[in-house]
Amino acid sequence: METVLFIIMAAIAVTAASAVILNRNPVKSALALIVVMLALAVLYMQLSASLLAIIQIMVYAGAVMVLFLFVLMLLNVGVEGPFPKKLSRRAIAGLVGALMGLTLAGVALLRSSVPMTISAPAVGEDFGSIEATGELLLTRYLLPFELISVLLLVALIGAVLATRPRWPVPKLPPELWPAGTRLPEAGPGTVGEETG
Amino acid sequence: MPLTGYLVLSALLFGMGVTGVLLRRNVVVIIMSVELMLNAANLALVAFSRFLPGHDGQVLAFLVIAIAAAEAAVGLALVVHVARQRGTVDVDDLTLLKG
Repeated sequence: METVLFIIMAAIAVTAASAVILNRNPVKSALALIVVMLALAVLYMQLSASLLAIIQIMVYAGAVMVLFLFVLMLLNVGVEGPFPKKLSRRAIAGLVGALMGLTLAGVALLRSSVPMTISAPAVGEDFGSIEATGELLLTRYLLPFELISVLLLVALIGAVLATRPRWPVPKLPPELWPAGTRLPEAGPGTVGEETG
Repeated sequence: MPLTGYLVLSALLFGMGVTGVLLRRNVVVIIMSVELMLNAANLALVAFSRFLPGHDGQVLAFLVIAIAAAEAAVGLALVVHVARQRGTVDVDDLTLLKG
């Protein structure tokens, strides 16, 4: 039963992950990524990490993916053209990705100090519960936990600053531009235009 | 299911994330592929945490999720700004820093 569930979820995750990287419509890619996250949440549940499974659904499949979809719809990104223009770049991308995945899988299969074929050791009912994880988070990992809060604050301020419509930077007259500066091609939202 | 299964699945997802970063031209989809790689790492962490019984791996995965959320927020804010300024999110067209 456990193995069957793992195989089903692994198949769903791999299929949806290939949809993420191969689908030319970014919105469909985002929806496929949500499926990957949900499949991984089921696997976390199976690994007795119930708290992490809930966090995965709430933070990843919920908040982060809503942010992605929001940005995609805000920018009104259309369907992507053919992938890299050159065939060689496409081949290199596939080759490097496959090589990296296979190397990691090979290392996992061959060179691990943990016995690989044993099934999971028995653990108590409270393994992965809020109490057990939270206690470790607030004792041994207290410093990283607090630093995360600083990081989130910095990310919050940075995101707000980066999306401000206009930077309060005085415009340099063209005669003071460094030599060789070219005007960007005219288009919607070109530098120097009022875009807000 | 033995640990090997989880690690192989994690490696496959990571390789697909790398492929996505190299293959795609849309910046938003590239950030999504990075999220896929972070998720693959998380799966390995949680699997190790279950098989060497201990919660350290889960705590680490928790921190990774928080960092990934921050990274997505800042990255997407930059994408929105670039799209406003340049009118495109195609990495092949964003060559301002090219020497």
